[in-house]
Amino acid sequence: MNLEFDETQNLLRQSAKSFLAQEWSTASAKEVMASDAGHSSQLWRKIADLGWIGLAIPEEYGGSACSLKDLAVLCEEFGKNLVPTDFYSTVSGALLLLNGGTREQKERLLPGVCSGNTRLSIAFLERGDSYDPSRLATAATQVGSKWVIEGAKLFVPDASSAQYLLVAARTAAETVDDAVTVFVVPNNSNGLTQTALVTTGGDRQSEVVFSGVTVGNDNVLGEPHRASRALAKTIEQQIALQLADALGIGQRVLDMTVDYIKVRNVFGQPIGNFQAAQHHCANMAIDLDGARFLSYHAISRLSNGESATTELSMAKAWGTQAIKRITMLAHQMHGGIGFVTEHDLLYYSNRAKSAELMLGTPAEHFEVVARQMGL
Amino acid sequence: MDFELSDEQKAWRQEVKDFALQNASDELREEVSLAELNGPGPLFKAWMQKLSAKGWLGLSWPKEYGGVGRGYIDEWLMFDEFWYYGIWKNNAGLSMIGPTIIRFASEEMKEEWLPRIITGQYEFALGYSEPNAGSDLASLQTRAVRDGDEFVINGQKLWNSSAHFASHQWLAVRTDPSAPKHKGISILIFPMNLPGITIRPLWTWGDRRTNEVFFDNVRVPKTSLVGELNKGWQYATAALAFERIVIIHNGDIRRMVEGLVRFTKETEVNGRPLAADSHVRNQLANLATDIEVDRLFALRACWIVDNGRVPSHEASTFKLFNSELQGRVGDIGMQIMGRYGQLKTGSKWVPLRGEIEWIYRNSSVYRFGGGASETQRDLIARRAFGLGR
Repeated sequence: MNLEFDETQNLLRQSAKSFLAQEWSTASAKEVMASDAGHSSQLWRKIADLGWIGLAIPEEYGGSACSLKDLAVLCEEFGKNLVPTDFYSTVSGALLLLNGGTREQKERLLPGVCSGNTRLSIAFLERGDSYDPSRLATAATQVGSKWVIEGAKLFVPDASSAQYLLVAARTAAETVDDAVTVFVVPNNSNGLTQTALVTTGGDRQSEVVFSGVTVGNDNVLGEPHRASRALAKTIEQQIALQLADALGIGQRVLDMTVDYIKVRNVFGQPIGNFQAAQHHCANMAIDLDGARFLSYHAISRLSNGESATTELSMAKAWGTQAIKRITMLAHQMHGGIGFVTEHDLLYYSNRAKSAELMLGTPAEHFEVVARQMGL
Repeated sequence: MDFELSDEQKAWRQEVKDFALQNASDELREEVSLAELNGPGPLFKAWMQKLSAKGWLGLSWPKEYGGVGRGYIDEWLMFDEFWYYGIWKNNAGLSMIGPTIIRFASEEMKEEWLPRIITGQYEFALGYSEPNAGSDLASLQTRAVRDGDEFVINGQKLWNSSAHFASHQWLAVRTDPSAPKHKGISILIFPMNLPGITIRPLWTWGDRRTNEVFFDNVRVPKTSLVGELNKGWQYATAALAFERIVIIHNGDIRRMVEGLVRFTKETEVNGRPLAADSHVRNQLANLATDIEVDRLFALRACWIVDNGRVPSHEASTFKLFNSELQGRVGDIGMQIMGRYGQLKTGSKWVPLRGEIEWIYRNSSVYRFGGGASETQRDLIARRAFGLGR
């Protein structure tokens, strides 16, 4: 047991802090959220040049060969500063390529991703809203050397700005139960249409409909029919990064609240002098510590290549609710000023609520924990 | 003790329900849902006229002031049905300002204002909070100085929510800066279209508009004064007490939970309807029970008023419980709906017109506005048990 970050992680955190202080602000975050693209090409370029998109990708594929835990430290700072979530869409896509792609595919695609030129998005969820790959309805049929994809994907993050969608589809194979294949589909393919959704988090999600979209064998990620494991591994890594981002939200919201109640006076004294407010802060601190410990326990195990099914689901179910509670208590202490769009607080609250729902709700993850308990 | 409504009350509820159903068009609902943004539109105004013609506005007002004198329980039952069907928005004139004028204002003011307030044609903006006077309202600084037959107003108000469409302002001002802070406040009412009033919009987490309003040498006649000079704190407190009883409703959250029940029956996840999931069933049953508790709290507060008393910690209990329940409906509702829970009004595939997602965000204002939850808990502890102070 060691509760400290290592030297690399401390340096990374420091450089993220100073970079974001110089190059980014919550005002920029709000501008990007309000824009059509929901993407800052300026910030994207700089983040890519710092090697952060490929931080956890091996050097041979153009990455910086750091660990998932190192990446998590970066994500914490991103959460603190409301960095646009399209970072996660591309990084998740890169991790899926790494987990499931052939050597040739990784060599061909990952350097462009790490350098910031190629953006990705995983198209997994559907109308049925299940993270279970065996429930997929989108299907791909082999026709000669081609594959034809039919179906509709929902809640696809940053689908509008990605060059490639990594599409999970059911495929027929006699030898494999619940065969799932991931296809690397160019976003400009014929038969592919998108409709933007409007979400709490202010992120960019779309419905993507595949109507006879045809791709070649080269576009099959790794081997056909056997993508379930790579998908499951990638979802776990996505959850790890989401947890780290949420911890950043919780930390920043607690900090801004404590700062505010020290200076805001009511009934002739700072709000922070009142016991009710002090108890709120204590509850926020307990929630943040609990979320942090559960999350980093799970992240560390994943980062070390150990199984983390229970740990990750506990962190996802408990931790994201804890971060959400922190935002709600923050509103209680900010009052009206935290309720207007000129203030930053509500953007953190929206992002926290989104984190609670995306990649599995508390109920879905407690169900995983229950199964792991033998129930 | 009997919480069952009387036969008359049940018949009344049925009567207003039938009338609401006849009038609850989709267009009216849509207009009402945007009323805090745009003000009351033509359909809502026509609906108010219908209600006025039926004599249903001012239901709790005494007969000598044009009211019906039927009491708060009947009024609450009516508005609750209207909230259920999404065809009501609060009218501060009817619910707070009229009753306060009836209790405290001069006969001249009653004659001048009440006949028009009771038709619902006036929209009041409530000018209480300021940048340095929120929960601690009595420290407000906006000044009104007597000059001949007029008051001259200077200052700044915050969270003046209807100011951009209001016809009138109900304004708390400081008229005696040398007196202790609760004893130097007065209330003025006057039209919004006066020179010197500047309105700046503020947009809220609930996608609605509130305002910052600046008063720069605004002149109003001395007849704008409500009741007596420097007694405004008493009037503001009374108006807030009326607010706590009348404006809180549970018809809308009842509708939302019914919507969630429909959603879970119609939505299959992993091969079975969400409604078959015991956790979901438990969550919805919990919400339904909370809503029943909320309804009983409301009826108790109204019953106390109808028996000639002023609800104290009982009104706080209702306000506190209701505002926190609204948050739970949003919070738990979004969880039950999974990824659909994060879709906002207007999005493709949004369930239940996005009102669950919306109430999650919007309801936070009810937990710190109009007396924060923390203040309500203090009040309950002090007033119900004599603790503290």
